[in-house]
Amino acid sequence: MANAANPMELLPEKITELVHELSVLPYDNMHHEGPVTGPFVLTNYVVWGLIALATVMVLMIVVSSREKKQMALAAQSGDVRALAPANRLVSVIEAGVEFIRDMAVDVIGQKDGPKYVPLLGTFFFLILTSNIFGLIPGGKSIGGAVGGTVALALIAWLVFVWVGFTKNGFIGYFKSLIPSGVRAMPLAARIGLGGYIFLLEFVSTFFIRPLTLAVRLFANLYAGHIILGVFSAFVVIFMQRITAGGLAVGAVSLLFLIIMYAFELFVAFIQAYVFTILTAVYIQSSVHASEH
Amino acid sequence: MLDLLFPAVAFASEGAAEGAAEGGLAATLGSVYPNPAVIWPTWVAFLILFFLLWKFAFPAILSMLDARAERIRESLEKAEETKVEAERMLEEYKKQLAEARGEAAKVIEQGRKVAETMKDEIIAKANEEAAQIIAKAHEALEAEKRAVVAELQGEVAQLSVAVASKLIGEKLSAEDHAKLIEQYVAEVGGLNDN
Repeated sequence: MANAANPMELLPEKITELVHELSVLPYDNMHHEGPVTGPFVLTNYVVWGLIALATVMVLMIVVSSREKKQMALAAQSGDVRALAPANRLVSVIEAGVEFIRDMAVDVIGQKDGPKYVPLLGTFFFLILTSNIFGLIPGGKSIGGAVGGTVALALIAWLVFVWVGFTKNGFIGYFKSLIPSGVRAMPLAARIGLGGYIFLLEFVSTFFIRPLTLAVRLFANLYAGHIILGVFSAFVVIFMQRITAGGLAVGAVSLLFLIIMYAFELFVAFIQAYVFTILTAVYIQSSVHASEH
Repeated sequence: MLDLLFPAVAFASEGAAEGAAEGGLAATLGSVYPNPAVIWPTWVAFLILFFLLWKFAFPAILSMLDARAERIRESLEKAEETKVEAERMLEEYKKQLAEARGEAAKVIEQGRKVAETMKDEIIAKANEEAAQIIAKAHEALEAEKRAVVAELQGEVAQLSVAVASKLIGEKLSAEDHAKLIEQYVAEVGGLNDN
């Protein structure tokens, strides 16, 4: 194979392999024919998702029990120094929690924001950790499978729709989809323009929002994994050609692969952040729906 | 070539062909099929993590953050208070120091004045005493002189009488003697007074 006349001829095969590898497969059988169809098969994505879950859980338990111990120590001995961050791990987790809390307060508001911190924190830490595990060669991110992002987006959707109905009432939430300016217009405009806007807002709120949440996260991570896969395929294909041109293309590809890896690490953070802050924005629009 | 650019599409179309045979939605949609084998485990994982964070981790971490923030705020307030207090005390001490300096200057000034008056008094007293001593000495001298003069007069008179007696014998009575002597003494005394 390595001796094929044109290295580009190897590429379609490599990409098919890559796409197959990125599909939902049983965790113990990489060569499974096509994606998993049964709902109760332990898949590669789920195994890596559980690893991410376990990692976040362990980190959170370690940090929060440490915090509790130190709070008790500070209360008991009155030594203020016990309130200082204990180590780097604690500082990092605290910074993340503080980041989410500030986001919730900034976006949703001083009064309602803090209530949603655990929800937003779960999204952020789970997606971020999973994304980072997805960058390990062979690793998978929950966001790299449509099933995972659809599941997460559905949770976000359920929460903000639930909040919208409970905060504004069933009729009130639907009414809030029409801007108050239109509601004050004459009857004909209210029916015509109001009806049109209602239709747009209804579709946007109940269908587009969850869909974009799911697709954005998936598409970004999937595209990233494809790019990394294609560049590593380039490196493998061209490094096998012991010609000056082959080695040069291989070296450039390797350089790009490293740059893209750094970029994907950035994307891992950004997409976790975007998913979380959009969920916060949607919750905010539900909490304050009748104010618009 | 399209297969190359859009691997997902390639896989999907590839899958569609097989999908007809296998009849699975999974095969038809390929990579964009929301696989139930991923969906429900994601929900379970989310709920487990949410419960843990909501019940245990976040309350502990957030209360630590709040406690620390509160503590820092308190410390800053206390520092500000202490600073103000310190400045006030410094001001007070400066005032006290200035007062003490003024007091000391006053005391020294007073001391100097007292010393000055004492000096004057002592000098005056000494002068007076000296004058007294001199006056006494004068008096004593005068008295001595007078005594000496009187004695001399006596002796001169006796001598004169004796001499005169010898010269003129016993012709002059005692009364005449006395008259002569007094006359003479008056003359001599008059000389002596000058």
